[in-house]
Amino acid sequence: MLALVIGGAASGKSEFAESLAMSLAAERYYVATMMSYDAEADRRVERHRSMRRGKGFATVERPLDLAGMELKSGPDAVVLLECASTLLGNELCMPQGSGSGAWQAILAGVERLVNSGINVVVVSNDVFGEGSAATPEMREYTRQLGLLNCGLADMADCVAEVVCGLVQVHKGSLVSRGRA
Amino acid sequence: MYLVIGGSHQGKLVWALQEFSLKQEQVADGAVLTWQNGALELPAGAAVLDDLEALLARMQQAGLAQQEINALLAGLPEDMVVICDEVGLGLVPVEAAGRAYREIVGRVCCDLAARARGVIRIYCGMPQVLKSEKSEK
Repeated sequence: MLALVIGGAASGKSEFAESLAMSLAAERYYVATMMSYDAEADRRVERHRSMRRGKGFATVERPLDLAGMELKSGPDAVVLLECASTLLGNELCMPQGSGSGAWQAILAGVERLVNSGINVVVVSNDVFGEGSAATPEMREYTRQLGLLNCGLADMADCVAEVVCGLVQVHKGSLVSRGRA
Repeated sequence: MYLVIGGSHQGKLVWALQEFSLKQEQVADGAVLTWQNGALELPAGAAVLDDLEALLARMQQAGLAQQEINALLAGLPEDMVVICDEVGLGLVPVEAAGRAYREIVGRVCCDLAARARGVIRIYCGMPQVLKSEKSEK
């Protein structure tokens, strides 16, 4: 089962995605994508770590190449990928990233996880409401994130948007412990 | 409390005044509303707080921490209609202050939504109910 959780900055999407993942399986993996490069990023990472503490997630750092990730998990596990938008930024900005095909590479990585039979919850960002792409690089990022989000939503059993901590289901229904 | 959110210029205030049978004179404007000694200085008879995002921007500029902002907003009357622009739906701002601003607005809106009896999102003047405690009727 694949669930896509989407929302703007500080919308409460992580908190919801964590509780959704916890309802799906007891064996839990958190795929962290953010590379910390300054104190602000450190604080952001620490905020997420403290939110997850005690919730039974094993953290796997994966800033690039999701499709190459090897998880030795049981069939009943859940993977929480946080988040597709950061992963895309890394793939686009880093020299070893997959550049113009980044969104497809990430989509292939998610598909591989789903096909292995485990539950997957992907968090992504809605960056499409402010027209804030000022440079060609930002426009390319926005374009690819739009394609990635649409591709994930198409593949997903459930798509949920989080607004002010409130959940709007756009596709499927929220299930716990169910397998689609 | 009712929280009304949505993009800018979507008719949030017009909708709220009509829905709750309120008048323009009952609107406090977050762009000018002041605070002192840990309390908002709401005008007498204010039933709507409009442009919460502008109030939060001014509180950020005044150097208030998130907890101080939360404490000020905890004093909002329970029957208040609070209107706020949805922010955080763009790319990560280049400026640190811009990043902090959307964190403040986002977290405050999560808190207010949890506390509110109703949360409505206005899109092109049309309401979408995100939360309603009247839904059992």
